[in-house]
Amino acid sequence: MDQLDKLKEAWKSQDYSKHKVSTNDIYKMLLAKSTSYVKWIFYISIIEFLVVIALNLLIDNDKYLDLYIQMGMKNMIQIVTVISYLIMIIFIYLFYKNYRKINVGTDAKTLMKSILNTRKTVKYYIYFNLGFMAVSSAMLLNKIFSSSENTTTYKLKSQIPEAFSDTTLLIILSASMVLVIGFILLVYRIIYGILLRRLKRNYKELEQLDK
Amino acid sequence: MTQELEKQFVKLLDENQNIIHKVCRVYTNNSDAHKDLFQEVTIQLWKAYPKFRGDAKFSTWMYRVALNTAITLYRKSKRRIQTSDISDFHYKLEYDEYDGEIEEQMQLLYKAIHQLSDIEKALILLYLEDKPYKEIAETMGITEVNARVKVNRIKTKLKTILNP
Repeated sequence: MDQLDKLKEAWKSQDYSKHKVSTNDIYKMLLAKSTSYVKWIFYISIIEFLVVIALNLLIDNDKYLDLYIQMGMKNMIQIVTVISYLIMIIFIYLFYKNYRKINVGTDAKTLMKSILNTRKTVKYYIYFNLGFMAVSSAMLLNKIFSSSENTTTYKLKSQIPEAFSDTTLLIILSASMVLVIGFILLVYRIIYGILLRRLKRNYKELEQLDK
Repeated sequence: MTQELEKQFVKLLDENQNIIHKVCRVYTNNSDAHKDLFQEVTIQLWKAYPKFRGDAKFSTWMYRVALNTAITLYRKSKRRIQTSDISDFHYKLEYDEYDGEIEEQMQLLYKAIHQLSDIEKALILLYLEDKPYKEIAETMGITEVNARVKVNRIKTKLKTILNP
């Protein structure tokens, strides 16, 4: 009998009766709140959806609406808004569907996979929004600088002096757009990385086992 | 109906609570964390209990939920229940009650286990519990062959840690 077999015997002979939790305490525990990781994932995801909605509402304010109308972009903005809300509904539905699939009674690998899938839905939604932001900003910039009339309207509306050269303005606007999107992406990647580090490591280890 | 379900659940959990203690002992190294994880496992079991269809043994299902909680769901927290007999509860989970040679062996084993990864801990726990490889594989979501290979590797790793 080798060392581990002997230890296995010792393991089996462990007596936990002294550690026993009373049924009274078990009843109390049933009322306690869970601190589960999935709960955190759920709350953080909801916050992400809310932040995107809040940003949409902030950006689509009336201040710029008449600017868009003047530049002949009203229809396009309306269509884009409707599409973005439709896509948001689809993502929220997918998120909820994936979230409901999380079952702690399943095997370890399936559980991890279902949590990762739920997170992925939110991650893709964020990426979609960043892409959407990049494309719509590029389209807007294109429209602003497509005619001197539009450029003047924009400068007036944004209280930028007429003397400010168009090229400098274009560079500043493009650079800020890239910086804002890059910054959001970076912060998101860091938070996402910290949040899923342990889960990803364990999932990878299980996957490696089956290779 | 809910009361009946609760009564039935508490009875089953009480009869099998050693399983949770073993999982907590492997994944935590102090009594506070042990209590915390014990509580989280209990909550997760209770939440999942309506879905437990009885196609597996309660104890088998309990291993799954307890290990899943320890590996994936558990986050350290201080939000434990404040029971009137909390000090008593605390006392019950102290680890200084093993005796003699067994205690020494077990301390060594636990020390070695604590150096393993989350997944390795689960595999070795199921092995020490004498679970068939089929069940180990099903609990972890891997193939039976790979479960066997991995458990053997961990056994070798443990022997190395135990005999530096």
